[in-house]
Amino acid sequence: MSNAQVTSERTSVFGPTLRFKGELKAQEDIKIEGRIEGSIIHQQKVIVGSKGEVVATVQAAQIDVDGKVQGDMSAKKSIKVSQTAVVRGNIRAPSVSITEGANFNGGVTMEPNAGPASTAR
Amino acid sequence: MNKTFGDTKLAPPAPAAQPASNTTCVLGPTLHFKGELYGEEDLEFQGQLEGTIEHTRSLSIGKEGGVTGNIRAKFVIVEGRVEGDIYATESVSIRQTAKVVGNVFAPRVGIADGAQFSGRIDMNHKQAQTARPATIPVTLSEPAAEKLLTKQA
Repeated sequence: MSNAQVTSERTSVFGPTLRFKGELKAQEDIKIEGRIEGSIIHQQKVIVGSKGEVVATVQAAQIDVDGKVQGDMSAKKSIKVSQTAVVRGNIRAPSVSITEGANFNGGVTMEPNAGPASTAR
Repeated sequence: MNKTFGDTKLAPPAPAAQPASNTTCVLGPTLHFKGELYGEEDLEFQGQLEGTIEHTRSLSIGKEGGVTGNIRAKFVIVEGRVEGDIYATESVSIRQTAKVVGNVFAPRVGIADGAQFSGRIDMNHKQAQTARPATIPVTLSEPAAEKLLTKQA
C-alpha cells in the first residue's frame, strides 16, 4: 500500500516532447509526460507524470496526478493528487487522496459509484 | 570527428536495435487517438490514430498500429497500416507486414517484398524538407500575436 511504483508490463509512456490535441481512448495503463489537450477516456490507470500537462476532461479507473491537470477528472476507483501536482478542476471518485503540498483548486465529490463526469452544474 | 564514418549509407536504426531506454517511447495497442499528435522524440506507435502526426525524429508504426491521416517525420518505418500521405525528411521504410494506401514523399524510400502498397512515390519532393522549419515560426508567432492583440485592445 505504499506509493512504490509498480512497473506493470503494459504501461505506455506518452513522452515529454509529445503533444496531442484531440480525443484519446485507451484500455491499458498510460503514463503521460507530454501535453494532451482535449479528452481522455480510459478504462485503466492514468498517471500524469511530473512533466505531464493535461488540459482535458479525464475519465479512468484510477488516476494518479504528479503533474498539471486543468479540467474535470472522474475515476471509478480512486484519484491520487501528489505533492508535485497542480490541479484546477473538479474531481469525482469513490476514493480521493490529496497529499499535503499539492496545489488543488476545485471541487471534490466522493461517491461510491462515480459515473461518467457530468458537466451539469 | 568520426561522424562521417559510414553513417551516411546506413538504413535508419530500427527501434528493436536500440537498447531499452527512455528515449524510445511506445504507445500501446489499445490506445485510440483522434486528433493531432506532435512529437520530438523517437516514437513507436502501436495504437490507432485518426488525424495527423507531426514528428521531428524517428517514427515507427508498429505491426498493430494503424494511422488514418497524414504523417510527417524524419524517419518513418511502417509495419502496420497507414491510410494517408507520408512525408519524411530522411527516409521511409515500408516493411513486409505493412499495408499502405497513400503517397510517399521522401528522399529515400524502401518497400520490402511482401508489403502492400498502393500510391505514388516522390523522391524529389521539396515540401518534405521545408515542412520542418515551418513549425517553428508558428509556435513563436502565437505569443507575439497575443501581445499585439492585447496591446491594441
